Amino acid sequence: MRASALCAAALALSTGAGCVGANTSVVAPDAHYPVSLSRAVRDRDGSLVPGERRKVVGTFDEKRTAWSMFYKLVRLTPKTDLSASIDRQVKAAGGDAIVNLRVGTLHCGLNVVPFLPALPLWPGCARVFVRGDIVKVLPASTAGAAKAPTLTGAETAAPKAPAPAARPAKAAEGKAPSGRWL
Amino acid sequence: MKTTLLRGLRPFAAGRAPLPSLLFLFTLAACTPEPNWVGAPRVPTPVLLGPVDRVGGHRADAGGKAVGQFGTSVDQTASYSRSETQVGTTVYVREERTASRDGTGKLSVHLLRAAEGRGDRDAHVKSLDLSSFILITASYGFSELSVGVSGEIVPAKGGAR
Repeated sequence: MRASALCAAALALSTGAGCVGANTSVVAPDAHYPVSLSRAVRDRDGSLVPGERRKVVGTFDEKRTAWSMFYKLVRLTPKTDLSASIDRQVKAAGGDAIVNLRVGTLHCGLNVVPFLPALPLWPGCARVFVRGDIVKVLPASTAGAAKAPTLTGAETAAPKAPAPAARPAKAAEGKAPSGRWL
Repeated sequence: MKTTLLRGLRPFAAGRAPLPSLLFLFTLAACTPEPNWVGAPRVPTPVLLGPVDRVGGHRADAGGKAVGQFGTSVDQTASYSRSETQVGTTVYVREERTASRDGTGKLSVHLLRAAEGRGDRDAHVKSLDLSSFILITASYGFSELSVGVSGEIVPAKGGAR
């Protein structure tokens, strides 16, 4: 084993080759709030919360770093658990859920240090970025459920919402809060 | 071992080593301020990470029967290659750079197909894997940032269409 590792290192050095990086799985098994990668979230009764009842009260923002060694074969950070961060940030913002969750990754500086990635013991890493909108679900009466909806028919077909026929599509588009909803 | 190391360092000293690859990748890494993002903001179906599927802490039924599956990988790759050919006293140098990036809407497309845009279904993310990878050789450099997402589509109990 030792000999093969030395041979691999020697080969890597002699050819100038090296590979490095990291991988991790983002999980939230113990989160107490719903977290959605889309704009949609369900209310307590199982119906989709219409756009006018979702009030953005904060931004979920988390940055982590994942590590690996031996050319990514050994994962030092196999899982990136966001449960505690989700609970803490949503509670601090007074929200009910996270929507529009976005997950991103970038190289970190150690991956592009000259020559050293050829060493099997050189750690590789990946920067993990997670962002989302923390929303508060307003009561139907406060939000004015009878107003024209802002989203698609699928979302506005909640039991307390008016019939789809009463909502012109153009009016709904005009009420959309931003371009990403269209 | 010592001989091997010295032999290995020779190309670096001669300037033929992976320096172009390294410079390219270093520039790429340093000048890429925006991560390889993945999200599904345009999907009308909840795409849930975690067990809670409703406001208030309701947990999804673990034994719910899946009616569909989804899975895709959103990648951002770049490569650099360099080769030299000598004909007589002339040296031809060929450099090639490539870069590609999947659109941020790739996951949305897969989810819309799998869930058919229905509001009475939920998408449960089973795995959300992030990966970075760099390969450097004397004449080739490759960089990849990848986010893989897969999961199941399940009917939402009490959910409205």
